[in-house]
Amino acid sequence: MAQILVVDDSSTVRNEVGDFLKSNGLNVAFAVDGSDGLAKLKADPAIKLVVCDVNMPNMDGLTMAEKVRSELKNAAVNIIMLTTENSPMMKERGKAAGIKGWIVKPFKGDAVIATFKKMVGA
Amino acid sequence: MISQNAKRSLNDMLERAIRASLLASPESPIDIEPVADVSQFSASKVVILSVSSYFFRMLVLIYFSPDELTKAHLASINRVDVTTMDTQTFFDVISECGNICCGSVNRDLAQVFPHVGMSTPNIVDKQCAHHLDVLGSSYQHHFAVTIPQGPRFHASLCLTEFEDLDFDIQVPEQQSSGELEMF
Amino acid sequence: MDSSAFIFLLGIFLGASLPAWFVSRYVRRNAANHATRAQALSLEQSLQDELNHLSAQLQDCEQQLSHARHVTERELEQLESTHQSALQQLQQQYSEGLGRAIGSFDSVGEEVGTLLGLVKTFERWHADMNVLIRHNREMHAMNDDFSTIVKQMVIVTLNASIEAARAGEQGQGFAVVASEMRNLASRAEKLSKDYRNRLYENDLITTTTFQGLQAGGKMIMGSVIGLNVINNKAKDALSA
Repeated sequence: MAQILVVDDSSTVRNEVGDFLKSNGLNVAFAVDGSDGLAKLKADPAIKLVVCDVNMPNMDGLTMAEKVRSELKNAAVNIIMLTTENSPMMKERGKAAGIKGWIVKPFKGDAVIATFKKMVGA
Repeated sequence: MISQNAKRSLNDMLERAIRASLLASPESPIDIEPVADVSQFSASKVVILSVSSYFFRMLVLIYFSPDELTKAHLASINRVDVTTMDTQTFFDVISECGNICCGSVNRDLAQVFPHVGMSTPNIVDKQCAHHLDVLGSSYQHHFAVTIPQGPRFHASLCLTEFEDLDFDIQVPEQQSSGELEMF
Repeated sequence: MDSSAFIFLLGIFLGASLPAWFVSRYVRRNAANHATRAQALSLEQSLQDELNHLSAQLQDCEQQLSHARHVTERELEQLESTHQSALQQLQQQYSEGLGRAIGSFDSVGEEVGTLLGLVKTFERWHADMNVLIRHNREMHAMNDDFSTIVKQMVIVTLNASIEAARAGEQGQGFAVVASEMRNLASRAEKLSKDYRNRLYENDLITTTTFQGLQAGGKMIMGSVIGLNVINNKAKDALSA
């Protein structure tokens, strides 16, 4: 069962983040957009952390985060955005949707792995 | 009209963005030199991205060739296995580099223009760049990007302004990319 | 008449009553020795009259004081009633205003929610762009095929000219045809090259136009989202 869900329309990012997390002993699932991310989360409620891009087709990451709380009624899962965006308004929207953190790309695994492990209880 | 300050800021922004997207770390060695026009570029492909504001439209172009040196370099900075990198994967990798490059420019522009939007990247043939003038941009600036023992890229910036532009964007003291900002 | 005047008069009354009582007693005790009984009675009567007068004055003061108190109490009641009424009116106006403001925020929120649906339109445009780019790519491929055919035509016409020259006089007519064909092939080749350039130009215009739409759409959505955040914050602040 996956502990972390990586959501990004770029296969490069999915592979880079996924490979790093797997090399640190974590179980990872993947989704290609917000809609796919919602479906994967619904199918596997054991997922404790979602690492999610903002700009994606078929539902952006912030809309997905809002729907995780409102439609899936999942208030527990930690959501962290991984994106090129850094706009204060987007962050406000994310905070209102209950996201836990924000990372501006490029992904630097070493800077975040300890926090990620804590979030999934590893 | 675009002021000299604005042009200088735009050029600086793109240089920073290139360092952030085409290198393993922004401090890695790289040589970025202005060049006159795109006709001398030997690259065969280009990844294009657009940034839109109420005041301007900007294109960011990164020229590349899908050769072994370029593939090896991009695979290494994106932690991808070069031996399993097919053409589509390579294009995904360079598109993501373009995305990070344009994202850096987008964030810097947001210091002055609160409402800016960025497109997703597209890859087109380099021959398309010979027709940049048809877009009616009022400012174009081109760079040759050389990575020691690495591939050669080129980059272009094309700007069409809808209002007079005069700004001076400061370099952020600390690059915050990659760090987790907790809420 | 106020209470101090009443106390003053009361004081005067008491002050007059007590000595009056003492005097009365003295007079009665000493009437037999000093004055006639009639004189004593007359004095007593005067004192009594004075007492009655003072008593009447006191009663009058009491009545005036009571009346003033009643008037003040009524005025106070009225003032309180007016104040309560004004306060209720203000509270009602505030509640109505608050309700209208929250209603406005809700309306703005609904409109913003509708606007956020624009993202679907932008995604449709993005999908349309991908179709157009695919179409352009197919046109490139067709032109490349055409270009290959034209190149082959040029080679064939060149060979035809060579064969025509070998045939000598008999090949002259054929040589003319071959030459014309070569010219046509050459023009077709030039046309193919121009067409290829046009396709590259088209690719650039198509890509940048749709990217402009996409980026512009993100800019608009950013503004709308910002508006939504501000609207929700203002509504939360008022509802608190």
